[in-house]
Amino acid sequence: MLRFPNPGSTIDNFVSVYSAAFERLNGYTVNLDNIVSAVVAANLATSSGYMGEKAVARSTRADRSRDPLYNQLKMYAELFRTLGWLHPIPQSALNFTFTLLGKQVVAAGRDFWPLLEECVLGIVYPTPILTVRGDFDLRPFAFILCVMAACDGHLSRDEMIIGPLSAPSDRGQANLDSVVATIKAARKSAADTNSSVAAVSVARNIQVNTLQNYTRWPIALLRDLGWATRRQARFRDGRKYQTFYLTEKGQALADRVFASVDLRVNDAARLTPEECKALAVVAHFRMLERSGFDIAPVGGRLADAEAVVVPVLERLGTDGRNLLFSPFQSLSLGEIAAAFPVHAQTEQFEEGASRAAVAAAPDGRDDRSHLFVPPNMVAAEEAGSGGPDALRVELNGLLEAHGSIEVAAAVFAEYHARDTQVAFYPLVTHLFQILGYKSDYSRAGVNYQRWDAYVMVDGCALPIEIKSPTEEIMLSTKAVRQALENKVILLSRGGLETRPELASLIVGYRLPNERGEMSNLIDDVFKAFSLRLGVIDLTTLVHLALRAMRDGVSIDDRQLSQLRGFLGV
Amino acid sequence: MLADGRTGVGTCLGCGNTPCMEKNESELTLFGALDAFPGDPSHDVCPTRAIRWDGQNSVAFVLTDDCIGCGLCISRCPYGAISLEDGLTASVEAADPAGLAITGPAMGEHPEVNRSGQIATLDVPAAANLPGKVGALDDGRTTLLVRNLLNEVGLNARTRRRGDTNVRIDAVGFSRSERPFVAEIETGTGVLESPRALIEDVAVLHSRYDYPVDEIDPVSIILSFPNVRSEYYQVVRDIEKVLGLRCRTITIGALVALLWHCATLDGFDGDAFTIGEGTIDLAECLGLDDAKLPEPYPGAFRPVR
Ligand code: SF4
Ligand code: SF4
Repeated sequence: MLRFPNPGSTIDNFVSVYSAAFERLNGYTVNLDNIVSAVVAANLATSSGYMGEKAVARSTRADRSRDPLYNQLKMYAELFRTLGWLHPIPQSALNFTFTLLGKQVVAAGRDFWPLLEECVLGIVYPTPILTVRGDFDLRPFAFILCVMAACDGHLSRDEMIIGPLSAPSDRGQANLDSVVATIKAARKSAADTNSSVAAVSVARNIQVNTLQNYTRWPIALLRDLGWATRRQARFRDGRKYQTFYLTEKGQALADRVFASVDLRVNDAARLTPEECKALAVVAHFRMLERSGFDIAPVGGRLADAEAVVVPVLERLGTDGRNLLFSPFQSLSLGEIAAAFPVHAQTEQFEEGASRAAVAAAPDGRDDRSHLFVPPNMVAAEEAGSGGPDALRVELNGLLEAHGSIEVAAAVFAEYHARDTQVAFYPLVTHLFQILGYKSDYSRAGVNYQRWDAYVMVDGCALPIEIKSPTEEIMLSTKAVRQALENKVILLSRGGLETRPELASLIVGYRLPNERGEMSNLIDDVFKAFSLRLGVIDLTTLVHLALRAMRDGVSIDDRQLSQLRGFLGV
Repeated sequence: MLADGRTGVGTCLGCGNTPCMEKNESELTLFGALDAFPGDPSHDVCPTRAIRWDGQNSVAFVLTDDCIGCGLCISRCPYGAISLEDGLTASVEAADPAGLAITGPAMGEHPEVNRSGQIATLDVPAAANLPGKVGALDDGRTTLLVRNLLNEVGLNARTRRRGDTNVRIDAVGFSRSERPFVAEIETGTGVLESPRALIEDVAVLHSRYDYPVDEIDPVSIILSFPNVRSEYYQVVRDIEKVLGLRCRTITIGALVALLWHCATLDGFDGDAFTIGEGTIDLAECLGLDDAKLPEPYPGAFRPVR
């Protein structure tokens, strides 16, 4: 199956990103870092919520695979290459230059849509430049249009997966017929469609939602280019489903595709270098002409090229106007360079001093160590004796069975991975009770307060926002924001004794892997309002409870009430 | 009225830079450090792209089915060529019924937009349709509508780029006295989440752009006021009491009312758009000097009882 990355943005923005990079870097050989900097400088992206130079610094992490901005732009770059706007340099696939085609997209300004349309139709596999997994002989978007037209004028996301995106080839009527047959069979019912998708999923060993992700960019294009609109259709069993119908424009384009001469890489390979060069010139400028560019200034060059290529075109049965062939997306770097010589010498783009001046921590983040708080355990009389007997028995049993607190805590957490609120809220308060603190939770419906539970420390209440694993396995910033509101409401409405400087707690099943966003929130809130937000995950809380039972210690009450950041063992 | 004294219905002159469709770069620039806020780069005036260019006849035209009747394009045509037809959707006059145009299409710069008069009264069907039409817009189109409304009533504003999950602030900008504001846009059922998001927005603006907390105005931009008994009002009061932050509330209906009256909004300083203990009535904050300003739709100016 063809895998288009999903850059998660509108097509408008997608083109803006290219323009921003082009305007800052055209004429240079660039790498992804350069593109990241350019896009950030144009205010088109952020890294973990940071903007401008700070964002660039944050994006300089040692572990690139975890940097969201870098990853996002990697996807953009892949799509820019697919569209023929960015080419790798012959010496390295990680360094790129901007192409003449891309330059014309930028030059079109707000009217880039028709040229984008041409580039989308120009996407073709295989090409000498792009390496894609799998063996395809496909012009995917032209094929999608043809399949739509042949399937009652519409195609749903799932049908795209089982149909045109999974086809190895779109050459010849037989291939079209077979894809149409697959889709028509799946239209019997939702179950039939689902099982066809599942079959693709199994055959390719790709999860269904990943398959669906691959359709997002194609669907965004169909929609934003005005080729298709979303409407409902019915399965043959009468049930409705969402699908994409060809618009008038889409239908007209499908007709054009049917009537075009589709030239592929192996066709071009049969030409002499002279013919190939001339064909590239003709195809490229005709494409621009269709996109509303004034090609009169290159009239002479076009006429010369046409003279060379006339016999070739005649052989193919076209006058050059209804040709599906985008040279920047189909030819090798050498052939393109021959047809469109680049005048300006390109050099490797050197980062300005500004970039180097931005000091970054080794992994690119600001120092967040102040937010990771190891518990300070102190001897406490009440530790280990509170809470319901049954829970203490359960914990003791686990400790005896596994010998180590780490393992016992992990096993306990595993047992509770499917707890709903009804079980999880009391559990959290019981664990605090084992630690020797008074703690209680609110019963749904009787809560003018917002907190889910509280823990009393030294006569004052710390409100607790709880997320059970069935609500969210990993805590989100949403929970942290709710804890902030809990604190404000408790301070305003009273009901329990508290003080502004005491923490508002969040307890959930697990901490998120990427804690940057949550850390920012906790830091920003403290800086602006001096309010403390403390986050504890179930395993940590159980770990502390086990220590309370085994060693008669508990977490220092000052540390708990002043907690800001993540408590971790 | 033209310089030679003739008057009549305006007609589309097909001006080259089509202010009815596109904003220019300078309109999207923010003052000072806030210009680094990554915003929606769209230059579109129309939130639904309903107004289009007819290249053959060199005039603008409106796809009636897509038009939500917001009036944005109307307010921007320097020639008064667009109107709300039957008080419902925008329509471009291209036939020059009053025979005012003498020369061919003016393919060049247009004169500064100079608005006066009124686009429509608040009792036309388009006003009543707003909740349904705006409520049905997707996230990106809603924020575009809000940004453009804020711009047209005179505020420097930028909305979040769709898809940027790193920035949670829906909109930032400046009031006319150059006080920064942060806004949350919520046209659905999530109104209750806006106040807590605004606390975060203020914290972010403070810590990353160094504006003092008490100089930032948090604004909740909603479609309709929630019911009088909604927790929303109490939470807004709690926040003011505990943090000293005064969250403002303005509706899309109120912004449209200003636009249609060709009026401007000073910003969100002082008591404007705050929720105090008394009754809430945005009609009083708009400065429209119309004793009996009708509510465009229920909940646009006052909470529903
Ligand atoms: S409607 Fe007005 S602004 Fe738009 S193109 Fe015509 S004259 Fe220009
Ligand atoms: S009135 Fe609003 S929705 Fe209608 S065309 Fe004008 S800008 Fe677009």
